[in-house]
Amino acid sequence: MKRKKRRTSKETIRRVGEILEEFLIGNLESEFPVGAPGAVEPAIQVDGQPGGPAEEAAEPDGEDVDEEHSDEEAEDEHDDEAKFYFDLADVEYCVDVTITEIVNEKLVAGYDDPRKPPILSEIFQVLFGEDDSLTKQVEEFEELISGYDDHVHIDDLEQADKVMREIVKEIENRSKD
Amino acid sequence: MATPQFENRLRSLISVSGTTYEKVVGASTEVVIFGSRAIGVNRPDSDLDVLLVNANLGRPRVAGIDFVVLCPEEVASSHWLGSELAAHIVEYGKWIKGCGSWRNQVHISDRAAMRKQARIVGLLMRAPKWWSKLHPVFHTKYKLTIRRELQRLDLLRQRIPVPPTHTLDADWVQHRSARDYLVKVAATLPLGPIAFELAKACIDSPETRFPLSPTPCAVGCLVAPLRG
Repeated sequence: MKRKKRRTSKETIRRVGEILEEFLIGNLESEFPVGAPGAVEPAIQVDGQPGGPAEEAAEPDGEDVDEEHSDEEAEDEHDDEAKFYFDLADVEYCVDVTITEIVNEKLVAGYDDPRKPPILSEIFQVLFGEDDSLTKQVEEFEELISGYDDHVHIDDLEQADKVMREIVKEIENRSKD
Repeated sequence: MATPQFENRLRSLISVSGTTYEKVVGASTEVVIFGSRAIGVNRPDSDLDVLLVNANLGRPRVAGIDFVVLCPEEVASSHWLGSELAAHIVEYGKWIKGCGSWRNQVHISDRAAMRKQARIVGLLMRAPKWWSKLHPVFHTKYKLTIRRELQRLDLLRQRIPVPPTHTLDADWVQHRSARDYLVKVAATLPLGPIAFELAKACIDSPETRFPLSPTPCAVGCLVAPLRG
């Protein structure tokens, strides 16, 4: 069923913005090289990435040029993985801790079904309506952090950070109107 | 080959969105239904999972459909051909357009299993930092996720395509003896004692044994590895 635009109090809107800024933007910044200067190294390395046993096993033997080339490509690929791809776990925890704050402060009600834990865009649908631009932006944010193959690329994280900052700014404006 | 029911459902869901069937399906070289609906083990509220092979399409947003959009070059890449999802689609997917000429090249790579392992290790190792800040509904969510991911890891290590989530859940509910087996799988991971205890708690948690849809497990042969 389509959720229509709702009238949410300015105080609620303001508090949601503060929570997003403190818990989502703040935690993403502290966990990933986004938003603030200073890179954060990926915390967990996938086995077989540089320095791991699989890389040593993949050392070219020099007998087969194609194979050597292929191994170099594989190493480059692993390098890229280590530099640019991050584990999804911290992103997921950051988002869910933020939702927890919103739920715990009772800014939205009715999210206690363990079979269907809330997602941020559903909360925005309740607060602002399904067709609101803020809800669409949150859906874009969720799309960016959904990752691929259990990992998320740094470009997507940076873009997600930008989108979330725009959301917070818009919420701030609406809470003043 | 897909039955018309999939095409009809796809057409019906797209028709109430802001886009058109022709734009989404007509312009794609391949369209494949996968996930729980493809093999009829879905719940009534399950999304329809759809792979589109399309060089020019962004990911469409249609309520009730979860699209994966790949360009033809991606479908031919070793990354895709060795992935968990590609293996799942080849095993369970229903093609409603295109022939899937890449199907014969799909295999479950070491990388797919390693990525799954890294995913589980990441979830477990980072949990202590976040756990106390999470609402109880999220505790259940992560316990469920970790148990399912352990099941998937075990299948990937054996080069068995991972079935839809509902099938994993049905398997888990029906075969309690799989518990010890899954603890052994967790024991192979590079975890500290706290993370390993959490893994066991996830496996043992009664909260993760939800009543499931009445649809029986459709892929009986896949439960064998979990019975140990």
